[in-house]
Amino acid sequence: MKPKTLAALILIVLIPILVSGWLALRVLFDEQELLGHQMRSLVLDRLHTVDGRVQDQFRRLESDFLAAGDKLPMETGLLRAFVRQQPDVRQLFVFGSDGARLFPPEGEPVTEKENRFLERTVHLWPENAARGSRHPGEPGLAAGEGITSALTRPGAGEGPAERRGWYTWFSGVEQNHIFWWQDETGRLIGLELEPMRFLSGLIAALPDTGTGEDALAYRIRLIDSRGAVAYQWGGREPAEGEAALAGIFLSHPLESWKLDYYGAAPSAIGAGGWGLGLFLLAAGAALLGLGRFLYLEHTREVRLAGQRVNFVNQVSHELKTPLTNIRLYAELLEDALPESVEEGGKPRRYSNIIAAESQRLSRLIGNVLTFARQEKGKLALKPKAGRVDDIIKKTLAAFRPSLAARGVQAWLDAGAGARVMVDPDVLEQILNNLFNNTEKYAASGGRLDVQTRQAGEFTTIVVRDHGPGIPKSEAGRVFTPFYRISSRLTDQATGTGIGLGIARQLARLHGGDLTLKDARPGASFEVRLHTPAAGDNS
Amino acid sequence: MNTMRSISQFIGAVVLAAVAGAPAQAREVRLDVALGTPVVEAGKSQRAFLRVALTGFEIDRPSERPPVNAAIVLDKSGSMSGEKIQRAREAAIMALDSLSEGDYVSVVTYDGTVRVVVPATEVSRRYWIADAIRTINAGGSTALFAGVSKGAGEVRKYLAHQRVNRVILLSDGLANVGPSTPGELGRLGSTLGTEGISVTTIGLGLGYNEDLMTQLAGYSDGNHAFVERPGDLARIFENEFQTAKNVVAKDLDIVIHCERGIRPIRVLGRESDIAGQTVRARMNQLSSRQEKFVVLEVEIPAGDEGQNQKLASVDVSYANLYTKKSARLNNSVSVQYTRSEKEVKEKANKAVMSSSIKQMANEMSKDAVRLRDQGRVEEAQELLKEGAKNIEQEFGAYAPAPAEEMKMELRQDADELDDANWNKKRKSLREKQYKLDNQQQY
Repeated sequence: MKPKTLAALILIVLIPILVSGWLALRVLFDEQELLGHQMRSLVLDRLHTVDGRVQDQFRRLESDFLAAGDKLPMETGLLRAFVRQQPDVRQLFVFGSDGARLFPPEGEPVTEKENRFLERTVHLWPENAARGSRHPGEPGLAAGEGITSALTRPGAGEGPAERRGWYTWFSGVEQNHIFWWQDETGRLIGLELEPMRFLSGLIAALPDTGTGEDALAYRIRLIDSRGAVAYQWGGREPAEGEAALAGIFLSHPLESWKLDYYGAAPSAIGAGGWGLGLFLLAAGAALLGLGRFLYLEHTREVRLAGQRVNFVNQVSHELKTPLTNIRLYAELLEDALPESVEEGGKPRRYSNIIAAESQRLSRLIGNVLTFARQEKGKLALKPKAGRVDDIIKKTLAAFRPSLAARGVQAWLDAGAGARVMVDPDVLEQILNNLFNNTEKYAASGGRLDVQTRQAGEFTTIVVRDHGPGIPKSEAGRVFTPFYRISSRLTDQATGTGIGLGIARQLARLHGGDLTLKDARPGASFEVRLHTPAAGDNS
Repeated sequence: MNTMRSISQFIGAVVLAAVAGAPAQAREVRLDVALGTPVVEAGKSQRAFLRVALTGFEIDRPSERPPVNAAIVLDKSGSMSGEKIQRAREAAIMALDSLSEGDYVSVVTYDGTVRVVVPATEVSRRYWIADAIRTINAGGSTALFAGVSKGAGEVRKYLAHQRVNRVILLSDGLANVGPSTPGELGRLGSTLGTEGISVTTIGLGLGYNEDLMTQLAGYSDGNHAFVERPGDLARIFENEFQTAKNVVAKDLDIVIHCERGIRPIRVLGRESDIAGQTVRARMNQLSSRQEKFVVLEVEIPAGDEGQNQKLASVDVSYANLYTKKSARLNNSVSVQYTRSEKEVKEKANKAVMSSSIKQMANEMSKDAVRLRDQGRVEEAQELLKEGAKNIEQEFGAYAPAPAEEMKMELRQDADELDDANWNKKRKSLREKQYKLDNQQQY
């Protein structure tokens, strides 16, 4: 097969694979980015759901506390019983509407726990507020502010209408929370959360590690305000120093707590990569299959064409001998006609036609055989010493009758009379094709001009007709085998379509070229041949 | 039809007869309020020990026992691997076998994170539970706080006053994820106790923190045990579940109102609240035939000979798991003044004196461990020896036998303070102190 065809086939296979591979890679990267984004938002969603659960705990406590507070008896013993019975409540304070502390009781004995509560909250009490210590950065009390004003100042609660809210402070390193509200009678009630109970309840409400496959993929950590892990779940064991994939801070009142999510970054590239590889492999295989199919088709056609050419070639060979005999006997017949038969008489005319037509047929066969030889690369030049003009005259003479029959007059401007080395068969075949074209397509011009010139080692022959000419757009293609100019020109004519192509091949074989020159009207072909001067000895 | 009816009538009659014929035993907790020295010397103010003792009643029909709602929380951190976890699995499965339908059980394991291996479920699905327990393998760090919290969460699903709600924790290591100090775990125990959940802690081997484990158990009124060899786990689990099945009363609230002039000083061994003249203490549960008590040390003013002074009144409320009703008990105690030293000695209440001496000695023992922890071994030994002497001087006359016993015990403790294997001694000491404080049954 020709390397050009092979290259084309390889390109047919390679280009789509490369293009589709590149596109698929781009899609994959886009998808990965999208996946990463989706994963992140999924993780964040998950963390926010956890935060929601934490908030649920606070809301549950709030409603429990408010419900309990409605029934809260304002009697020391009963208040103590309330604290004792509430696992969530560590301690309790109640201020009257006049700002006096009702619980833990003032001026009455208090229990050890109540005493510790008072110590823990020492900075909150009005008389101590000025020297109150608070944790840096924590929403706490301004200097000189007591608990009543601190908790009920605008912004401390969730709104002026609802005078309640969470108050957070640190005693030592421990974070404490008080839920406070002001009831209709103006009393300020505050319940201190038992932090251990709160955390324990939170843990019970949060997921455990579980046993599924999915459980091994992640680890979620609840980080308290000290930065320590308060609780964690998920079977993934984060490596030392592994960065969290995502993290959020919890909502009020645990805004200093954090949720961190550890997990593998989306591994889509792995799966997608495989997918891409498979896709490219499949596409490649499909294209290779297509390529192979096209190749087989192509070689089959080439083989078929070859067989046809071979067939035509053989047929032509077979035709050659009978044709030679016909020509021979046609000439013998003409010679054998008695002198009495006048020049334009029927018998002479018939024999002339037989001779001309058989000549035409042998030209055709010659063309076919030359083409076949050319295809096989067996075209060879056999130059002999001779005069170009002689060959032209002889050929033109053979055409004269048929040209005249179509009303075409041939003129020769001979200028190549030198003895040169030329292959007369090749030149004759070139001229045959050119004259034949004139005869077939340009008879309307009524005139054929042939001009020959010699310069140095080259002979130039210009064959010009005065017919419809060849449009510029077609000029390049008239030499292509089997190409024939559109219907208008060739409507009434028949032909094989290989004539000009063969003529050009032969001209090139002869060290020259055949070119189409500008001429108006008609077409002008210039044949250039390498014709070195012939030595005297030949 | 007729036969059927007459048979069912007959059966009904038999059942009725059986119920009526059952021994009319009091299904009521017994309350004893007594002074160690009901008769005291006149003319001087002095210390006295008031003991409030509660005794669980006999269970007449074991089939009617209140259901147990227990969470078994197993440490499966790396240190538990090998025989320990294997024995723990066996003990848990054996404990499971001792429960019956109507009981609830859950199994929670923890290392760095927590897994609810068996969510709270009725014991009818025994094989499934046992299979789940068999899958437990050791490895990882120790999130003890979270493990107990999750266990409590499982118990909470079926939390009810008429059930024995219990978390049973087995750990061999130190907590290192989440809250990890004895104080923090004690407060967790305290709030769980308030909810009606007690936490039993079983320390396995020599690597656990006995302070953390005793505080967690103590504040929730659970049991505590030190198990040195994994092979003993099965026995401890058996004891634990036996006491759980024998619980007859819950949420025992004890209020002691001291009369004017009587000053409450301290409660020995138990968590309590003293506000003015009122002393409050709580016990989460009481088993059948178990005696639990509160020893209150009071200061009584000087009195005249022959004077009879009312000292305190005691109110106890509790939930009776057999009658399924809450019940109240009350009693009061007085003190008599005399000039006769002999009479004081003769009238001394041996049982109360014995309890008081043990609790006193126990407090000393705890103080000594505290000193020993600070590296002050000799001071600690001195404290115990001094304490032994004091006990003999102060109580020898009233209760010679327990005083002698405690004296010997304190001396032995003193010797053990510089024992080469202090880690192990400390664990067994803590266990002993704990059992004394809480009148643990096993």
